[in-house]
Amino acid sequence: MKRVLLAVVALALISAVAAHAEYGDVVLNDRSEAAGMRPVIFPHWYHRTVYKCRVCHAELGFKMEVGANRISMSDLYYGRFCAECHNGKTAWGIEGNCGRCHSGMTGVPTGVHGRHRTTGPGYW
Amino acid sequence: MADGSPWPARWRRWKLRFALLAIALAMVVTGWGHVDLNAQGYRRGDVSGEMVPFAPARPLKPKRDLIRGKDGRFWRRLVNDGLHDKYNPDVGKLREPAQTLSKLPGKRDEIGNNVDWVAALRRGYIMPKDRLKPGDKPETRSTDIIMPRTAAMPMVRFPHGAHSEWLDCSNCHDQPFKKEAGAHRINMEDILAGEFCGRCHGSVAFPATDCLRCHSVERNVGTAN
Ligand code: HEC
Ligand code: HEC
Ligand code: HEC
Ligand code: HEC
Ligand code: HEC
Ligand code: HEC
Repeated sequence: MKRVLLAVVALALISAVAAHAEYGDVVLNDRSEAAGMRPVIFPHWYHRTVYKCRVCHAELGFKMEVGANRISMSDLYYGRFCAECHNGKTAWGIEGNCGRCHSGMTGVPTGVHGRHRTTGPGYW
Repeated sequence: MADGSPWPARWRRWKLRFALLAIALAMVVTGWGHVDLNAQGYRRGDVSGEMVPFAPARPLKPKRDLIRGKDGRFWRRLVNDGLHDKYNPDVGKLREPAQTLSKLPGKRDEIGNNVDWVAALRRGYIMPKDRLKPGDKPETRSTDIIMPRTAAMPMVRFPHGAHSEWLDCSNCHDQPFKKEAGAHRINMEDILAGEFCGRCHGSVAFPATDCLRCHSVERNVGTAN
């Protein structure tokens, strides 16, 4: 009985609403829009088909928290963060590909946007 | 009653409280008051900085906004996902999620990526690299940990195997987890708020709405525990 009750409450609160972006999409917009570029969209769903989490989050040292790495374009020009791979050898480089990374709608704030959304209170 | 109402004053107060509670509950359940401006097609004006309509708010139209795989799973079309700018000339160079993900195993649950990533990796549908630079094979671990403090739900089985195939020990140890079974008081509220398991389950790994994938160990029904 208790379990049925729990399930009903959980279902009522957490009934899924169709998520908007693809699950796991990260938007980086701490500096881009202020500098006149579209926000950056980083797609986890694609990268995890070619690299395991540990490549980025251990070997390359990306912190597992949105915004915590404070990535800037000059870091990339020095070959750090995204540019460890996006250097024209491992994956396409920076020059001429601005729009592939800077692909978001303006006004979208930094955060995980494909995050599963619920109708529960706040930001579950 | 002196004022003509059939209800004693004490009850009337309770009726009001009950009505307020019911309204609050209805708001929570229907998600009323939760407005996601970007999803509604608003964007910040280039000059004024205000939120102005970008495209008229519109309900989801399956034919236009979704791409279906052969098995009935579907994904949002990139240019209509409420995130990508369709006026970006390079948007056509990006992959559609449906194109890549429909080839991977998974069930249609409309949550997460609709993909069972553990199966995709183990059955060889994808071969993500362990390292970027040459080096040792990473450490893995195969023990399971049963977490029994789950109230009326089945117990939680935490598989080190499925995790260390993807992740490095340092992603979990010693933050957020100490290397000690039973060392943490975890509850669902923390997980849904993005702590402990919720750091990944809810943003990148399958979301916390898939209760039974974690709560997978039934207690023996009818025996004392
Ligand atoms: C190609 C590199 C890459 C790979 C592979 C990758 N990530 Fe990430 N991850 C990132 C970046 C970049 C961010 C954003 C960091 C920032 O904003 O500073 C991020 C952020 C995160 C976050 C933070 C989200 C939040 O809510 O704050 C989590 C959790 C995460 N990743 C988990 C994973 C998991 C699990 C995997 C493996 C399935 C994975 N990542 C694979 C690059 C990667
Ligand atoms: C571990 C290596 C690695 C890192 C780090 C990395 N990427 Fe990538 N990324 C790749 C590879 C490989 C591709 C596929 C390139 C191709 O299609 O030829 C890719 C593709 C992409 C794509 C296009 C995906 C599609 O739809 O085709 C985007 C956008 C992207 N990366 C953004 C980023 C951003 C932003 C960062 C930094 C936050 C980043 N990447 C960090 C390896 C990496
Ligand atoms: C591999 C992905 C990638 C590519 C390609 C890329 N950028 Fe960026 N860019 C980023 C990331 C990540 C940030 C930091 C996002 C943030 O926090 O706003 C950024 C930030 C910026 C900023 C904000 C100011 C600063 O210095 O951080 C500018 C301007 C910018 N990029 C211009 C460009 C231009 C111009 C190009 C094309 C030549 C380009 N970017 C290509 C990923 C990329
Ligand atoms: C990512 C894995 C995961 C998912 C998904 C998950 N749980 Fe849990 N749950 C846990 C863990 C871990 C604990 C703590 C167990 C312990 O400490 O022994 C827990 C504890 C609980 C508890 C008891 C503690 C408390 O908070 O009251 C309940 C009830 C519960 N879960 C219900 C649910 C429901 C309902 C869902 C689906 C909406 C769900 N769980 C989904 C991992 C998960
Ligand atoms: C996804 C997160 C995660 C990863 C990755 C991970 N662990 Fe754990 N580990 C846990 C959790 C959760 C516990 C249990 C904590 C509790 O019960 O409170 C645990 C417990 C342990 C324990 C003590 C319990 C036992 O089984 O004896 C050891 C030892 C341990 N981990 C070693 C490792 C090693 C070595 C690796 C790398 C191969 C690793 N872990 C990777 C989450 C992780
Ligand atoms: C650092 C990120 C991270 C943390 C923390 C984490 N997980 Fe996971 N977990 C993953 C990834 C990545 C997968 C692979 C499946 C996917 O991405 O959907 C996974 C898969 C699983 C699976 C499915 C295994 C299978 O065989 O299908 C279970 C069950 C699970 N996690 C439970 C837990 C529990 C319980 C906790 C907390 C004690 C936890 N996870 C914490 C990243 C994490």
